[in-house]
Amino acid sequence: MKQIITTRLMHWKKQWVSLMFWLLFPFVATVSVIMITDALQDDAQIPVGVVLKEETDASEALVQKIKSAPFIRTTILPEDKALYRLEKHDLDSVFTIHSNFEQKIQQNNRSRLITAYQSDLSLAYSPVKEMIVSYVQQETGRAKAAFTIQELEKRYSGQTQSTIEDIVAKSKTIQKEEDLLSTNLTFHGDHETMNDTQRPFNVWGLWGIFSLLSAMLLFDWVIKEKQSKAIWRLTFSRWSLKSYLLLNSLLYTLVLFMTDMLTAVSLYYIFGEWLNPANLLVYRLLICTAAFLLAHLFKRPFYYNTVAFALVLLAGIGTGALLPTRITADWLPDFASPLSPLLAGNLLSLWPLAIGVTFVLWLMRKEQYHA
Amino acid sequence: MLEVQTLSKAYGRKQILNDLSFTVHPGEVIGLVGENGAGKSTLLQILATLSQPSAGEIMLYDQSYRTDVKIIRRQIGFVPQDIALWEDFSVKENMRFFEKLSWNHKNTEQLRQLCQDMKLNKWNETVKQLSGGMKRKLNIAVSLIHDPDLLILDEPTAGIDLKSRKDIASYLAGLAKTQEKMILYTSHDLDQITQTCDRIYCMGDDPFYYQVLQAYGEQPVLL
Repeated sequence: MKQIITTRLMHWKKQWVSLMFWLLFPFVATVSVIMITDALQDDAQIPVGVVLKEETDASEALVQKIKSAPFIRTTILPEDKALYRLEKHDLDSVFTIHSNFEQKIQQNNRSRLITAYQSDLSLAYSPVKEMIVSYVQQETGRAKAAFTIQELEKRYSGQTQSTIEDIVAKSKTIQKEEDLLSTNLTFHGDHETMNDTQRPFNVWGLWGIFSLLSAMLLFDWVIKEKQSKAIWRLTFSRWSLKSYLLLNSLLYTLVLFMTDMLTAVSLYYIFGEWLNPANLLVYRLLICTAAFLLAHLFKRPFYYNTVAFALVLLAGIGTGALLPTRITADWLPDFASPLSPLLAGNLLSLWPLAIGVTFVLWLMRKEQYHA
Repeated sequence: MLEVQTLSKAYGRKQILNDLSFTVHPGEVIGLVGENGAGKSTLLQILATLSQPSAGEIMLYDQSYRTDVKIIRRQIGFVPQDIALWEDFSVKENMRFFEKLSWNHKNTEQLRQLCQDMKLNKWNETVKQLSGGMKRKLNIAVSLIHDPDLLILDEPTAGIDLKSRKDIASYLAGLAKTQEKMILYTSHDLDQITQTCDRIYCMGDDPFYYQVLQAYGEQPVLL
C-alpha cells in the first residue's frame, strides 16, 4: 500500500489544482448557494419599521408576530428615524405601538393603540395592518373572555378562583396546542417533517449533489489511467491492474471522506446543520464506488463526464435536492433515493445495496489475461 | 534459456503463426524481421505473456508459460512500440513511479545510473519535453528496472535519429554480453539488425528480407 500511496501522490502532485478544486467544490458550492439564496431572500423581504413606545409582553408579542411573517423584514427604531426612512422610501411602512398598549388591550379598549404610516409606494401596509388588527382582536377577545370567566365564577360559586393572568395563560396554552391557523396538513400516510429553516434548499441535500458531481468528475482518473499506454506496464509489476485501481480508488475515497468530515464540521458551524458521520461514510462509499464502477464502462472521459453530469442532474431533480420544492421528491420513496443516507438518515437503502452487490460482482470478475 | 516449440497462433480462421520453434540462449541478441503483418508483433506479445498461443509450448528457464505466468512475468521486460510512459512526469519521476510498483527495489542513484548507461541524461525533464530518441531510451530503461532475464523489444528504434539508434543498439548488445540477458527485438532497420544481433529470424512468406539479409552476408533463419 505504501508504494501505491507514493505513486498516487506523484500523480496528485501533477494534478493538485484540479484535485483541490474538486475536493473543495462541494463545500464551497453549498455554502455559496445557501448564502446567495439567503441574501436574495433577505433582499426580497419588505422592510417595515416598528416604533415601540412601551415594552411589555403584549407589545413584544405583537412585534414577534410581525417578525414571523414571511417576506417582511422588521426593524425596531425610534419614531423620528422611522418616519425619516419612510419618507426616503427605505421603509415600506411604519407602525408605532403607543404606551398603555397592554393595559388598553386588557381593558378591551381598542382605540388609539397603534398609529400606522404609509407612503405612496407602500406595499406591505395593508397586510401588516391586517395582521396587527387580527392580533389586537385576538388579544382583546382573550382579555374579554377572561373577564367573562371571572364574572361567571363569581355568579355561580360566589368567588373567583382564577386570576386574569391565569386564564390568559391557559387560553394561550390551549391556542398553542390546538392552533388551527398553524396546523400542518399532510396527505394520509405522509410523515410530517419539522422544518424550522426558511431555506429553499436543504444544506445536506445540496452538498450531496455537489459531492456526487465532484466524485464523478474526480473518478475519471480510472478511464484516463486505464486508457494510458503506461498502465499496461503493471503486467510486469507486483500489482495487477485490478488491485492497482482498487487501492487507488480506496485512497481517493479516504481523502474525500476526510474532506467530508472537515466539511461536516464547517457546515455545522456555519449553518448549524449536523450529520451523523456514519451516514456521511455510507454516502461517500456509495458515490465513490458508483463513480468507480461507472468509469469502467467508458473508454473516453468526455462521454463519461457527459453521462456523469446527466446523472447528477437527474439525481438533483429526482430527489428534490436541487429544485426547492417537495413535489419532485415526493414520487421517490426514501428507500430508493440515492441521497437517502443524507436526507432520510438511512444507512441501508436501495442504492448502497445495489452498488455494493455490483462492486462484489466486479471484484469476482476474472481479470483479463494481459491485465 | 527460452524455448519455443511448435508455436501457433490463429485469429479465427486466419493463421498468424504456424509451428514456430526456436531457442534463445542467455547472452544472445535475436533479431526478428519480416514484412508488416508477418506476425512479429504477435510473436512478441505471446512471448511477453500479453497474448496466449493457440498451440505450442514456451518455456523460460524450465518454467512453462501455461502454468507459471506470474513467475515468468518477473523475468520479462517488454518494450512496446508505443511510448508507455507518463507524459507529465519527468524522467526521474517515471523511473521512480515504476520502481515503486516493481518487484525489485532500486535507489535513485541506481535508477539514474540505468538512464546514464543508456546515455539518457535529461533526468529532470518531462517526457513531453524529450526528443523521440530520448523517449525511446526511457521506454527501454523503465522496462529494465526489475532486472529481467528476457528483454523483448518491439521496434525500439522506430522513427528516431541515427545517433540514438546506435546508442540503443550498442547498449542492448552490451547488456546481453555483460549481464547474460536474452534479447529479442524487431526492426526494419537491417543495418542495425545485422550489426547488433547474434541471430536473425525471418518471418512471413515473402522472401524479400531473407534475400536482402543474404546480400548483407548474413545467414538468417526462416521461421
